[in-house]
Amino acid sequence: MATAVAARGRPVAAATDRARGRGWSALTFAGILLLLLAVWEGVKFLGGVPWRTPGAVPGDPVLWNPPFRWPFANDLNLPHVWNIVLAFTQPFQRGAEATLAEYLLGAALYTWREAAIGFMLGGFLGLALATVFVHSRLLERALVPYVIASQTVPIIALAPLIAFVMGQSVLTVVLIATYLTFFPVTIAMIRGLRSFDPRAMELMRSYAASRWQIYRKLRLPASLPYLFTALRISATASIVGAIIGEDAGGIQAGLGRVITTFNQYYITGPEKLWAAIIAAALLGIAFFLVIRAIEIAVLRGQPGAEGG
Amino acid sequence: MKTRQAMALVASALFAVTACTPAASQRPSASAAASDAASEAPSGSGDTSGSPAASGSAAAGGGEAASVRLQLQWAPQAQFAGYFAAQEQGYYEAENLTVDILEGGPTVVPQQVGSAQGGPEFTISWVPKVLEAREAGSDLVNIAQVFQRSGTLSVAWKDSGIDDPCDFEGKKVGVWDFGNEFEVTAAASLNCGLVAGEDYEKVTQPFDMTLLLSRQIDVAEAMIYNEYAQVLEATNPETGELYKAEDLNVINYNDQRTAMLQDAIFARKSWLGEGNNRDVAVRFVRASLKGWIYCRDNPDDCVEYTTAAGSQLGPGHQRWMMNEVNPLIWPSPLGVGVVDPVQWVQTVRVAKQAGVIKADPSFDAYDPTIAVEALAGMTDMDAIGADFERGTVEVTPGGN
Repeated sequence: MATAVAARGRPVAAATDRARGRGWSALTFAGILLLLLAVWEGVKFLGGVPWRTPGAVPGDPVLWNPPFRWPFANDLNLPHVWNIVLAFTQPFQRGAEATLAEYLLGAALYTWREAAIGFMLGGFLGLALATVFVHSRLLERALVPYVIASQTVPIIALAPLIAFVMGQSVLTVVLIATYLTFFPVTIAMIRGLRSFDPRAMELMRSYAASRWQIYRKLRLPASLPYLFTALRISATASIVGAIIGEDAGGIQAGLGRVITTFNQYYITGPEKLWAAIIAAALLGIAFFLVIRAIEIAVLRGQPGAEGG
Repeated sequence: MKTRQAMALVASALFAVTACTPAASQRPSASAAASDAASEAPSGSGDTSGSPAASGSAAAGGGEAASVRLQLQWAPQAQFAGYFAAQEQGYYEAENLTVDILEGGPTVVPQQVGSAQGGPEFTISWVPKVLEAREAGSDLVNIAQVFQRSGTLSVAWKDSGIDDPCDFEGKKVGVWDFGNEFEVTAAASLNCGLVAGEDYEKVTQPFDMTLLLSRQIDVAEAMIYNEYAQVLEATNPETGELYKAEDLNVINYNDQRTAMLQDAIFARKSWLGEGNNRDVAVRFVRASLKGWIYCRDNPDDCVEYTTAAGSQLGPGHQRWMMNEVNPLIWPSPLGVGVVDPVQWVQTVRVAKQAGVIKADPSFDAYDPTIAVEALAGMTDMDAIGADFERGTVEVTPGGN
């Protein structure tokens, strides 16, 4: 409580500090992005292939002829940034009403649903395992090595196996997302559920509190910062799991299949694969931010909540 | 603390609701998606109610109602157009069958999925891959040989001077993995005495053509209906124009006599032996072959069905694929779906020499009686296609 009172003592200064901090980080982010784009196009300016107008058709004039020819910088390996942007705004295939951006948004939402269900299942599974482990040294010693071993099996080896057993369905995808999600939660919560103040434990014991009461009123609240740190890692992992799982699960919607297809047909439209990769990255960031927002709302005012 | 907990609860509840609700209503299968999309297609060709098939030849069908699954080899594309057509034209329905079309993908091994007890009743795969699986214990039987010819090519740039497998000597030769490479390596060894790893460098090529385009390999394996078209749909970065057929040398393995039988319909022998499943198989094969006949006569419709089935590739690419798949099927001198014994023997010979299989497959590896019985119920249709002529299709940039 003491920290909370202290924080309330100078709310205005803290708020402006935070706002200024956010402004700077946004600026830095934009600056780094611009720098990356400049390097990208700079390389193409020096060693790419002749520059043409965006979406050029054969016969259009050459705008700039780079002095060198570096194979990695040609339009096949490294398409122009503006052509990737243009690809977002064009129909994803001829005759289609949806633009590539709309198409990718739909695919991303589909993948997100699979990932989110896997994320929730994995979160609960991770929490349940950790709860068991902190209450039983024997089970912890016996089972944690298996939990760790489970994560060293490459998911691309495991995914077809899960699909083989579960059949080709969304369930397969959800399970793979779950599989990648529960681990960080288990490991972090084994620690988190033990991170209470020992004096508080002594107090609870002196009141003859039950295990459940201790868990509910002491262990769980103390572990929340650990939980959310783990959930943020799990959020991005669940997206990866869903994307990989879609191929194994034979799911036709979703980013996984889109990436596979655009990859297989890369030479006929390199921009499309780059656009899909950007969409996958944005989805991961968005899910991460959602969890972060929930974290800030839940932990507001708690000590240590500002970090991370 | 109480309000915070309430907020967390509300947040997670909202989260759960948004995540779960729409997922439950997602399309359960490719077939449902196909019919959804087809009913929205502008031309209205998805309307099966008025089609002659649903009413006309329904007499051939009948039989007990059955629900079956078909495992494709890959994502929806015109390589499987005949099955989409059978669905959309109501041929399966007329045979009293409900067919769920399952799509494949890079990690889906159809002959493995189809061999499992309780797996899909019907599987599309290539003959040598299934022969290999049979030696490992699978009981898949070839019940209809749809593709009579192989679609495998090797493609090289004209300036490489490679226009025969004998020219592979000292070159980097791209081939696919997973049993797709045998026609190429067998042609080099049987026809030219060239051994992979000694006389030429065998490079495992991903399922795309980037290595050829960036000239990291001298020659690449390509399907005539897919990757070969991709090269023609790609823009030459240097000129800004599409690559042309004149830029390329093409080796066709049908000419090399190392071609192996490709797309066929397989079913488990154990499944065929249960109840009236053999009759279900006859009806399924009949409806599927009708679908392929429909695609021979109406390729444009079939391109549309394929696009509607959820193909992520443009209709231009599917049109090319349809146009190249038809000549692999037609003409079918013995009737569509019937195995050509000469091609079967050649497939087995090449598979053995390439080390795919150790021994000759047993006689029950293919069962021509199912396809023959299926054809007997459709004598009103041209199942041979003796006067089939290949159409012409214009290449579209990016396959759009």
